[in-house]
This record gives sequence, structure tokens and C-alpha cells, in this order.
Amino acid sequence: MSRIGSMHKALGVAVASALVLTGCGGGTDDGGATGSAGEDGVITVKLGVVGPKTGPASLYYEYMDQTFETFFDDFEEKYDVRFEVVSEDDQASPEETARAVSRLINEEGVHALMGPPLSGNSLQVADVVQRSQLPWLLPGPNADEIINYDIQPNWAFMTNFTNQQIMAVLGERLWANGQKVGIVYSADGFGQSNREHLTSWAEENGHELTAEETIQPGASDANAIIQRFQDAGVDSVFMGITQGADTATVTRAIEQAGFEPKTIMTTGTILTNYRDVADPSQWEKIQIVDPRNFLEGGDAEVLAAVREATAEDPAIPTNNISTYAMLDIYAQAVQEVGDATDFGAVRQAMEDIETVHIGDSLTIENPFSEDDHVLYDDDPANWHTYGFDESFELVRLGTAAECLQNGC
Amino acid sequence: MDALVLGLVLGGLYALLAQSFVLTFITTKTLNFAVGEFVALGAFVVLAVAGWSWLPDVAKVAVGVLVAAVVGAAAYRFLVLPFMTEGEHDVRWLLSTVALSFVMLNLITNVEGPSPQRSETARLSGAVDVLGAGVSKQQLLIAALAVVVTVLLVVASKKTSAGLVMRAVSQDPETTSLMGVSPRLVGMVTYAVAMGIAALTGTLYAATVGASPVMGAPLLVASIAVAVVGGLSSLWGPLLGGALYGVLSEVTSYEFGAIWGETAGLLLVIVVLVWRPQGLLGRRTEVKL
Repeated sequence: MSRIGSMHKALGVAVASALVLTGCGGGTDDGGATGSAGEDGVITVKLGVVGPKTGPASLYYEYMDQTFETFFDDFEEKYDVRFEVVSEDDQASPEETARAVSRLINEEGVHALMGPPLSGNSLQVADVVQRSQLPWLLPGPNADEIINYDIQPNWAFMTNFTNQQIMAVLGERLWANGQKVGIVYSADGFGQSNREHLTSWAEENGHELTAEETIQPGASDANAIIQRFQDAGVDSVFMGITQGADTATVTRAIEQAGFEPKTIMTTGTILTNYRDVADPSQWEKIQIVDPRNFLEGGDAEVLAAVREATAEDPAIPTNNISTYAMLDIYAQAVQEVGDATDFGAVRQAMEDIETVHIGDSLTIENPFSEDDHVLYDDDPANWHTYGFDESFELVRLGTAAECLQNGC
Repeated sequence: MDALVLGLVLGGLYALLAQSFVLTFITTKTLNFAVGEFVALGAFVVLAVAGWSWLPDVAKVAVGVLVAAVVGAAAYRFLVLPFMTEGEHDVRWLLSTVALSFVMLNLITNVEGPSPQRSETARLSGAVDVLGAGVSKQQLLIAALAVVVTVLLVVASKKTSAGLVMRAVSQDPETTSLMGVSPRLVGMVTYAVAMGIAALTGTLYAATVGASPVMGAPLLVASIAVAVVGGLSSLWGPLLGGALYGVLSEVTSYEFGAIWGETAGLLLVIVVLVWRPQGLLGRRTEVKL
């Protein structure tokens, strides 16, 4: 009897340890965030943040955390808005995301919701958040489908580019000179959205995809994918892959097969996890496009400040910048309204915002309208094309328009 | 031909890890569902000693294997053995190994972070041409090791006294214990060897994909499938299962797209389970699962 009891105890300890280590429960730092100005004239906002605090996708929470740590004091000084974060761990799973969002909205009574950062999870909770009529801050996801503009007023705002935009910028480049295009995309919301928007762009512009292949997260090889590309005569490859490590699996297979496409393009997700598992010979031909200038100006200032404040590299550089932009927009709106609990007025102030500040030296004017809640546009002249040097440092090759016209 | 060659090489990776399942099943009739985390443990231990320049790569890998072996033996003693005392239908060890998997995953993630880390130990760069197919040298090394490890295990089980004891415990633990053999000790040694093999797989695999806490998870399903196809009670089983699973999934991926590759491999498992539940090379035996 005692032996069985001790077994149960051991199992209990193991399960309890697992629960503790997986970080069940949320992090609450509710120091009296009323949403209106206190005696010091500062408005304290209760910001609900949902993202994968634990697990393999935790970088997608870390970039928000790094940006908070680096800039919260700046925003308080600049706009008299203090953020108090109430965070929930969605573990990157759809079920946990639904639970986390519900808890933040219904139990915590947050004044605005930031996240979830993964497109698939955001899509799943989109209706719920829109119905809650809270400002919904989305610095991470890229899937256009998250915002349904049939819902007006619309509560969601995105400060990352969208998949539709990147396809509009990339399409001509991929199909330049009659190249045959193949896409390999990750089997998740981000990858699916990439594939759908590339297909749509191709159909609208009289092109067709020659090959399309899915890669599962953590796949041990991509040899068959590359072989199928070669057999189909693909000479222009787009990789719409969430994790840099999976991108490395594809580029490793490209090298292994001796495949030499003329064009290999991907997104800023390659800046995450790729360098540590790939070799220079595998990235020498890869290029990315992004609306942000990572090397100079306000975007670069944000990244430098994160490095200095956290003593770490930005977890996902693109999203560190988009989180900064989102906080700037929301803080300005709250300052203008004077009450974070007047959700409708804050939403309207966000939609009407005149100038978004990124770092000290970059501004974006009048980015939003009733049916456009996305910070960036899809003008290739406003996007940058980057390659990589031997050390995987970004090299700016020109604007996307220049590279389309002159080649890069 | 490319698909055949690459399938065999990929099957070698799965076969090496599948030996971890087969070994523990033969001796203790249990499976350790934390094998994926032992893969990561081995990789991270080797990463931790990678800076010891005075130690050759082989010795660094040995350190990783030894640490995983010790943890594996302890896991059997404290998390498997206590949960299989109620007879053949006592499968609480299944829950305790799953719990161990969660605990190890989170411990490794908390210590090392979620991102893959580059591992240069025992790393072979580049590819070689095998019958016209470009094959990564690292993958080829892993496949070759799968064959070597299998042969060594078979020889050890048939030609050494330790192997004899292992087989005796496997067939009748009660009688062997009356003869002075400790099934508990044999189980611990078997778990040590099995988790050492998992760590070896992890170390070599990490040289390709980087060491990360979740690196073992994508291999787990395929390795269990390979063990089941080959037969959980046969040391030769993983090689046959790995070859069939690898070739089938690779050929299917080539013909119909990557998404169908793993599906085809798992369909093979179902076919084998229906036609020959003990696996292609396994002996018919009462299974507790």
C-alpha cells in the first residue's frame, strides 16, 4: 500500500513539475491600472498580452517582452502613458490561445489586447476579439485574413506587412524573365496564407505556380521537395516558412541536390534561427524584401536600443520593430482620448492617427483608414531588398523597385 | 533511384533511434516515451563540452552518450520500474514516461532556450554522390552507424554472457531472478544502453539541424513506426523497418508531394499491424500495451 502510495506521490510530483515548468497560469502585474490619468497625470493602461511564453515558439513572445523592457519608460515619458502588462501563455496552441484570450478579456478586463503573434492562432480568435470591441494590437501576424473589413468599426490593427503586400512586391521579381516559380511553405497559418496570396497574385497577373510544396515544422529533410522542383523545371523559389530552422532544411536540400535556381526569395522570418543551422554557401543566393530598413534610420535605432537594453539580439527583428510601432500608435491614441477605457474613442484615434514614430528618426504619415488597418503599403519603391554576407549580416541591395528594374 | 538511395539513408536515421525502443521493449516490455528528449539531452551535453579542445570529438560524443545513459538508467529505476508492479496489464509507466518527457522538455528549454544551436562536434560537411543521388555525409554517417550499432547489439546479445542474461530476463524474469540474476539491474543497463543510443542519434543529428529542445519530437513518430514495422522484439527489425519506411515515404514524397510521404509511412504501419501484428521480423508475443 505504501509502495503504491509512494508511486502515486512520485507521479504526482512529476506531473506537478511539468505543470509548473510549462508555466500554467498568467503573469499579472495589476498595480491599479484604471485607464485614466492618476495624480501624476500618467494614464496607466492594462495591456493584455497573449503569446507563446513557453515552448519551442517562445521567440514569438520574447520579441514583445524585449520591446516592452526596452521602451515602456520611453513611452511613459513621451506620451504620459504607462503600460501594465497582463500576460497569458498560449503555448502556440489554438486551444490555449482561445482560453488565454477569453481570460484576458472576460476575467482580467484588459484595456487592449496585443497578440497572439502567430497568424493561425490570431485567425482563430479574430471573431471573439472583434466582438469584444477592444483595441486589438497585432504587431506579429502577416495573414491578411485576420482583419475582416466587413466588420465596422474594425478593432484590429496590424503593424507588420501582410502576405498580400509581400506578394504584390515580390510577384514580378519571382516571375521575371519568364521564370518558373515554385513555393515551399510551412504547414501552418503563415505558410498557408503565403501560398494563397502568391497563388492569387499569380492568377490576377496571368502567371501560374509551377510547383508548390509543404514542409512540416521540424522536418528532417526536404530532398523530395527540391527534387520535385527540379523535375518541374523551377528556376525561381519562394520560401514562405515560419521558422528559420525549417528554411535551413530547405536550403540544405537545395545545396545537396546541386540545384541552382536563378532566384531564391523569402521573408524576414529567415532572420530567426537560420544562421545557427546553415552554412554561408546555403544563404549566398537568398534575398529577402521588407518594408523596414534594418541598417539605418528609425528601424535600426529600435533594434540597437533593444540590443543595448536587453543585452540580447532582437528575438525577431522585424517584429521588435512592429511592436514598437504598435505601442507608439496605441499610446498616442490613449493620450489623445485621455481614457483608455473609452475603447471606441481610442480605436477611432488609432484609425485617425496622423504620424507614427519608429525610433527617433522615422515617421509614417496617415497609415490607416476605415478599410486599411495595416501600417505598410505595397509600393515596391518603399520596400528594401537585402542579401546576406559571409557572416549572415544583412546587405541592402536596393529598393524592391530598383531590384525589379535592374536586377540585384 | 534518387528516392531509393535517399530513402534508405533517411531510414537509417529512424532505425538508429528505433533501436532505443526495441531494446527496452525486448528486455522490460516497456517503451520510454521520453526518447525524444534524450535525443536533445545528448545533443546539449555534447554542446556543453564542445569547448573542451583537449577532448577529441569521439570522446565528446561519448560524454553525451554516458550522461544520457546514466539518466536513462535512473529513469528506469525511479519512473518505470515502480509503475509496472501490478502485473502485465500495469501500464502506468506509460504515463510516467510521458510526464518525464514534459519535464525534460521544459527543463532543457528553460536552460538552453527554444532556438536551435549550432553543433560542430562530429560534423561532416558536404555531400557525396551515391548512385547519382547527392547524399549528405552526415546522414550517411548516421545510416552507417545504424548498421554498425545493430550488428554490435545482435552479436552482443548472442555471443556474450550479458546478452544471454538479457534474453533470459526478457523471456522469464521470475525464473532468472531465482537464479540470482537481477531483472531490475538488467532493466537499468538496457535503459542505459537504449538512451545512450538515443543520445548518439541526437548528437549526430544535431550536427545537421542544430541542437534544440524539440529536435527529437519530429523523429519520434517515424522511429516508433519503424520499430513497429520491423518488430519490437527483433534487433534486426529497425533496419528492415527503417529501409521500408524510409524508401516508401521518400518515393511517395517524390511522386505525390512531401505532405504524403509521412502519411504513406504510417499507412505501412497499419498494413503491417493488420497482416503481422508482431512486425515483420518480430516474434509473436503477448503485448501489454
